[in-house]
Amino acid sequence: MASGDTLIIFTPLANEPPSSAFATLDTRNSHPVLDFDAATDESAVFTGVLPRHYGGGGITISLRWAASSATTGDVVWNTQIERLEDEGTDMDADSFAAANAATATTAGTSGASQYTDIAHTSGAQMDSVAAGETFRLKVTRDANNGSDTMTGDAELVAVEIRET
Amino acid sequence: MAVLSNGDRQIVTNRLMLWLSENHITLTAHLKADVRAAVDATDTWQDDNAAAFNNALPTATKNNATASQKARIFDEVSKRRREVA
Repeated sequence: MASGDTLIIFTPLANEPPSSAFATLDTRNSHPVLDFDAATDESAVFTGVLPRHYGGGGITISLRWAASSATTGDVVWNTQIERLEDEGTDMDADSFAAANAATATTAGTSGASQYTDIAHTSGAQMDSVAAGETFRLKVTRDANNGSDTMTGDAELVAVEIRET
Repeated sequence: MAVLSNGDRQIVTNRLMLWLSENHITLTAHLKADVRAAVDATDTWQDDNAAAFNNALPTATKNNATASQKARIFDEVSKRRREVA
């Protein structure tokens, strides 16, 4: 698979919310979105299978999001991977790898999408997930981070994972 | 009444941000810190001017209403002023 090629896509309807502090499913002009609070850290979780054509070059997670109301300010996003390999990780407990982060400035128009990329190198940053294996992706707004300055919710519209 | 605690001022700030989000209302050029500063300023102003407000009330209210009741009068007038603005 060539660098930059899309591996998998998640939409808000694929979210498997954690038991607490979860992003809330909402709609905006009939577009399903996940609302991430401005004051409390909230997360969304997606399960996928890393395609067998993945070439091992690491992944870039592209978050497509918009502001509920703001037209200025920054959002701090975290992404984490959890490998669910054959006869390996026990699903009874979470085992996400350490988060990678990006600070992104909102679009100048509320409702306009902003694309924010977070790269995970092959290996520990991907919890060593390999082609053909099941994994989970956890997306979190680090709302209590001092660099997260945007008022109001951040609305996640879609997630693209592509080969770095 | 004293000024609100830091935690209470943050609760007000969070409520305002929730209201903005739910209604897709843009508060132009405002970051989180700006919303919080506006809450701080409003609370401080209300505290600084509490005596003036009390003195502006008619005698019956000034002498008989509790601080909470006077605050409710202030709230209701402010609310209606916002509704008709």
